[in-house]
Amino acid sequence: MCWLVNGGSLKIVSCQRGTHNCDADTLPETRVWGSKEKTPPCCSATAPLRIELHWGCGKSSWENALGSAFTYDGEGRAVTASGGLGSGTYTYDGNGLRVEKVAGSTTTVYIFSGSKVIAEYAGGAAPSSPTREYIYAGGALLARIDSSGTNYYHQDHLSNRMVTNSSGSVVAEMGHFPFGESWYNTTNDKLYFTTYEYDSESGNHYAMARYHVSRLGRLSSPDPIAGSTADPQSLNRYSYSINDPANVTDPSGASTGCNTAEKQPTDKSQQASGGGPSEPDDSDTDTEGGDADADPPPQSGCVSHVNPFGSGSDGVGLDGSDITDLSGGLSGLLGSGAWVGNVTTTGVNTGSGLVPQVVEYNQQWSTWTNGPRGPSTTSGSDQQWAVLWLPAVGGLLTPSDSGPGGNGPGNHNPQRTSTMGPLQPQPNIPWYKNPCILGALGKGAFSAGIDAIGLIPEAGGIARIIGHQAGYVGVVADKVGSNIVKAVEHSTGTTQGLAGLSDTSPAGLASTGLTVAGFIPGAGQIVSIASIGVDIAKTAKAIGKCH
Amino acid sequence: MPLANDIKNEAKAAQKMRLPWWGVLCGIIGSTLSAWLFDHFGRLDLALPTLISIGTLGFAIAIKWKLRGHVWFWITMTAIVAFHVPLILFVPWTTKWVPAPLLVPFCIADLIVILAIVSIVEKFVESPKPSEG
Repeated sequence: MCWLVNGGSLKIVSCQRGTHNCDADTLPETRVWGSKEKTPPCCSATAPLRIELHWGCGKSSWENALGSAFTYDGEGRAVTASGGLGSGTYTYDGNGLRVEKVAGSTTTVYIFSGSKVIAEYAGGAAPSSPTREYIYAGGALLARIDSSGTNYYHQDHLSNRMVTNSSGSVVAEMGHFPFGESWYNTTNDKLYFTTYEYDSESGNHYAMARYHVSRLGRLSSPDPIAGSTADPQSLNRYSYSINDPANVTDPSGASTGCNTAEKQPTDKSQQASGGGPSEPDDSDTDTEGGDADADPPPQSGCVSHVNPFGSGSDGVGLDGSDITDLSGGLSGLLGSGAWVGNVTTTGVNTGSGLVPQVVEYNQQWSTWTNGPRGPSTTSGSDQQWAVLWLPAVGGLLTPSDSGPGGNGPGNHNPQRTSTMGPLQPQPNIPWYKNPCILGALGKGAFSAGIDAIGLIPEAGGIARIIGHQAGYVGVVADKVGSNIVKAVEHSTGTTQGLAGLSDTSPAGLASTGLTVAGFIPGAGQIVSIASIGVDIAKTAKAIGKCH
Repeated sequence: MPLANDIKNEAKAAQKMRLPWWGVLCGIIGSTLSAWLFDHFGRLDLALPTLISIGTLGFAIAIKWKLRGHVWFWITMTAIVAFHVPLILFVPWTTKWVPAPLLVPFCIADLIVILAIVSIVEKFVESPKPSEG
């Protein structure tokens, strides 16, 4: 999956204020995704912005720094993990549960009840002195007891989102990106992604049977449960929650049995369990009132949840056409601006494998800083970016705004913390009716048609006719050119051609170039062949980007 | 100006050279695949200058084909190729479409420079020795 992750970048590529082009003053400015952004001085008043987002699957230096390597025992259990963040050693019991973790000089011993951790001890601690204890209500984590007292966890359909103390005050808030990358986590709580524990020494999540590598959007080792050809999705034994992390969780890490093709009885009681873990064989599926016929729930260890954005306004799933809908739905965040569409740039490479895309947002900067970034927080230079809907990746993306306003109590908008499922295909539109394809073909045909002029041996004459609009004849072609040239230009003289060649204005240079084009026909053929080849490649690329 | 006359004669010879239709077809197919490769590696901007440079060098070699038996000729062409590499890499070429007829003068200029260099080297290397005079 390709999501904009930390390490991507955001770049303002143009900015207009009145008739003054601000680009030369302050732009382009590139900011690393997730960093705080200060208002470009030129754009602080009434400037619509055009921003360029870089994203992709390529590894950034940030990702490389987090990369970890596992070693496994004979039963396929990871016993060590090492990487840029540190290293850890893990020990398992006979049921495959991780009962001890050694990270650096810290040893943690886990006590399980069934598949749930109920206590943690520091290495060598007395039985009466646990580091922390956990209390569950059904399958959901209810509270944690540690040296700070009793803290209560509150979940949504995926993960723990908030922690309150015994006084009812919020002491922590957590949010994450679709595949578990931390979005905000005010207290660095290790239980922020579904029911998994975050291992800070490796950057991975302990998913019981396996480890979840959130930066890769997949699990580190194959599912111990084999897939089935009846459900091709299950044959990918590395995928996390059938690649539907917005709707499905995988508490056991052994749930490739999430079979979307087979219908299972629904269990609405699971809806209340939130991010709580469940046994792999609980059949704890849930459609949250969804239409079971239209959206078969997964089976086995997967927990299904409804995509909060439904299936888009046109009933074919979320896609680019839903930009307007989302803009309306997010009016509280986006202010009064309007999306003006998205434009894809061509052929630019950032050097790190990231693919630049351009999304235009017709919003005045002054409005933006007070609206789309969420509730007003700070003023001055420390501003936050807007929530952006990126149809190409099918997700709502937002930078890390760990400031108090963006995520403070009462400011939680479920849309900001939610993510989309995979894009659904567009309705079948014949290619010859697809305006995107037709536009690309038309543009390509025009380019190739002009470029093909040079293939004709007498192109010098044709080119001169095109260039003749500037009034020049061209001495070279007049002397050595073809009969066409002579016929067309017979009445004019060499003097005029010489005058044309001395003209260094753009029109004169163009005319001269077109005139000289007839000098050596072979050279014209070479350039035309190369240009047509590039035209075809560009056209194919443009068509490939059409939905 | 013997050098100018040489280039003029070579240009006249070059005017008679044409690619056959199958050569054009193969060239377009090859250029398309090459452009796709450049795009795959994220440097589509280098596709056109590289292809034109290759074509121009090939054209120059074809014009000077009678010198193929001389080692100095190939050494000279290798040096010219090496000169083109930084030209391709470090000039900020654009990915925007530029009509081919406008690019032809650059190709011709490049071709003439190549022919001139080869002619100069030829004069230098093949100059009659005093004892032969």
